[in-house]
Amino acid sequence: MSCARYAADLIEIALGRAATGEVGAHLEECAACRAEVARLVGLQSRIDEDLGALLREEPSPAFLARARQRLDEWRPERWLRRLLPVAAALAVVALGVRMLDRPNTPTPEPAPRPARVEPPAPVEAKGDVASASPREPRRVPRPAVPPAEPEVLVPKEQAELLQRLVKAMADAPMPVTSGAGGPVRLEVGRIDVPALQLGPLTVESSELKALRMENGEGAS
Amino acid sequence: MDARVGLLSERVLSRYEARNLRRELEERLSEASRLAFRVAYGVLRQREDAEDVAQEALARACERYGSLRDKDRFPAWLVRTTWRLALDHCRGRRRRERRELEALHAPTLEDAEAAAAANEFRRRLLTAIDALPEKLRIVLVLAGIEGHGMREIAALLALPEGTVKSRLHLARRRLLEWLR
Repeated sequence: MSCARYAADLIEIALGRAATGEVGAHLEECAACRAEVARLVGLQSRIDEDLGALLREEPSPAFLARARQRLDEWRPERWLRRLLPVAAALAVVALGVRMLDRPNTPTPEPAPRPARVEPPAPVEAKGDVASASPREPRRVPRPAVPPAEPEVLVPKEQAELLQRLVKAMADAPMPVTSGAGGPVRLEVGRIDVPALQLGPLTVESSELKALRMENGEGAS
Repeated sequence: MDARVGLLSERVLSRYEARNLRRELEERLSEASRLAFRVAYGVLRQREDAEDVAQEALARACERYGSLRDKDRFPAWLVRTTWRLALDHCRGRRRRERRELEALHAPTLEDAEAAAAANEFRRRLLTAIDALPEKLRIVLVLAGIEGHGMREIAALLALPEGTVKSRLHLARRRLLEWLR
């Protein structure tokens, strides 16, 4: 019965503590407790052995190969790329806020337009151009000075429709619906829209070839 | 012109740093991956799961490697990450049941009776280890991995050597109490 009070001490001794004092004296007298210490020492060895065996497992060769592959894919600046979508989202939000703020700001007076420069008329084919190789497409020389107004190149049948659309946009305010909530009306002031400048279509020979390919006409 | 030169130099510098980091990581990878696997295996005791967890830990460690101020802390960071991931992974009841079943049926000795006894002991041991508080368990697992003395464990866990020693002692003592 008296051995039970030494139970905790016996474990400590099995783990390496010196058997001194009262416990040491008891161990000298008690064979059962000495046997218990020996059993606990054996148990501790078995625990260490089992745990060691468990933790001696080697990873498979495939595991190491996968780890190496991950390293190949590793880029240290990856966090920067992660920030890109956030930056893009912030830019969109900023743009949206700016657009919603627009009606509150006074519409600036339209700046005086520079004098309109009519696009030059297409150059008639001359004899020297016609004498060039028949396979070579006719080249229309580009004007030396670009026109002040941008050229709008549209098919003839759509030119009139486009003119009407631009006129309607200029005459009427344009309702705009915001994505977040209810409709927002953006009062677009009257815009002085000049008549469309329909300019000649100039196509480089290389571009022409690509266009033909696109249209399925072949490279001939 | 100066700005362009500056930008170019910065780019060259960052590439150079990236190459150096990569070389450092490569040097550490073999040892680090083995350590990550063993730590994960110490918790999960199932090869495939341990490899998956270790891979995940390695991926996270690689991502953070560039931002680690003290690169020598990399193994410690890896061990902690692996440990946390392994514990998370371990919480699934089905996996635990499968693991125990596998441990129970792994034949280790020729004699069926002895094998059954060994399996029973191992099952009790693993259950006892799982029941240890985390701070004791991680010390016990790291001590079980070959080549890890008190100093290495203390460095891995960023703890004083005395703390590691007392925790290991406490862990062993509890196991003896439960298994005696």
